[in-house]
Amino acid sequence: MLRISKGAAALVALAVLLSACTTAGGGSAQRTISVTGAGTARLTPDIAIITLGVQTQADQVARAVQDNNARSSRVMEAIKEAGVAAGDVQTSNFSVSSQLTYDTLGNPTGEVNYFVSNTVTITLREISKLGDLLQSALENGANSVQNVTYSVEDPSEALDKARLEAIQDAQAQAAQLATAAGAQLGPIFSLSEYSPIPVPFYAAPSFGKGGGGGGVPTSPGTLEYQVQIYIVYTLR
Amino acid sequence: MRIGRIISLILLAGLTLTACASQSGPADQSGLSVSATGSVYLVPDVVEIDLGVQTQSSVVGSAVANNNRLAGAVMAAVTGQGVAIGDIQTTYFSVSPQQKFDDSGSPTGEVTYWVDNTIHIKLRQPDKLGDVLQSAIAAGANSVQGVNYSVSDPGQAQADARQKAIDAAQARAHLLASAAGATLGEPININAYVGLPGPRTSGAALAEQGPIGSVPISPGSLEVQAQVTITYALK
Repeated sequence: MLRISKGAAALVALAVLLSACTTAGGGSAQRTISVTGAGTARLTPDIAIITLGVQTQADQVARAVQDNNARSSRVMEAIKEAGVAAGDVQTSNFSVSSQLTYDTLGNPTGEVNYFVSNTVTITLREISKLGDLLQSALENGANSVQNVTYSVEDPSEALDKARLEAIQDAQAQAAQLATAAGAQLGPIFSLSEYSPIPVPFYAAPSFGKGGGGGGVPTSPGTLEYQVQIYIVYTLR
Repeated sequence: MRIGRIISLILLAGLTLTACASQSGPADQSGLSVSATGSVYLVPDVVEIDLGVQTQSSVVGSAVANNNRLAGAVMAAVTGQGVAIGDIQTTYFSVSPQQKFDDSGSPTGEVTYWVDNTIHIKLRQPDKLGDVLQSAIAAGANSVQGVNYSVSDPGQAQADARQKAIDAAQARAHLLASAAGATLGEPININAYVGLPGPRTSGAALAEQGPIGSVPISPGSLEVQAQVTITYALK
């Protein structure tokens, strides 16, 4: 008898603990509505970042370097003539490496081939000149183009517009849900933003008006930024 | 028996309490949270490169002797360009034999010895890189790896980038609060991360330094980016 009542008391204590827990958790004490609003900014890129270089080879290291220097100088000059500021050109790699030559048996012949590579990364602000820049770099000795990426120098204004759009979207969703719950929206409990990541967006022909100009045909397309705002409203 | 029961009850209660504690995570916390970045652009004042001398011979002694002579000349050429000896470090020295095989796949007994001596150079005048490379190669260097730009003291740039990120986060918090009809209280949490100077992702042109030296090299500019997250209480 005594033992049973002790056990029952312990169970009651546990039940109290559990109920204390749910009220302390906050979630169920305060009725809330959680919504995620989305806004989109679509921008035409105004910067192109290009990585290109000159690769040469010879059986004499000095000759491979000399040849590379001559071509790289012409490429640098072509980049400058395209109107790119010196601060927008960075040598991203310079390397000299060697490769053995082998005979049919797989034995090294003693001959060595030297490879020299000089690579620059260019920030091009007159994006309409991209095609011409690539063309003239290639004509002047560049023989490797590794990458062209597009970017928007300052998307902040467009992003702020997208944020306001996201909040309106969230508010509209919350109002609909509150009506469904037969309640009214109260003050905001919490609000947070997911950082936007620009995504290249290729399916909007009306935006691709920048064009690449002459030379190598290029098109900057459109960059899309998605902003998401998460809001928790209290209910009245 | 009773003791065992009591212990199990205590354990149960403990579990309930821990479950309870984990419920009040950040998701339940009231507030307005924003993240923003700030960037500062700067001209590199340090460039690091690895360069070396590789020699080969069927006699190990002559491969080493030849390598020593060339590596010494490369060292002299680099210091001759004004690089302090404390900014040059030997990072690799190796001697490796390579067997020769006949057409039946058996070793012929002939061996080629490869010797490699590589140094790491910290150059504090980046505009001299082209000349340093050219003179090292002229002196016998036949392997060069990479060009790595940095800034010797990025502290001020990091502080400026952090401030820009804070300003942007504050402005954004006010924009979002007024658009959503909320009133900001005190900041309750600030989280900042500032990176080291790295390749630029955007931003204005800086240095008016063209390619200088016999190997055409352009240092360009670097970017320091800060990221700040601020959570404000809501009134």
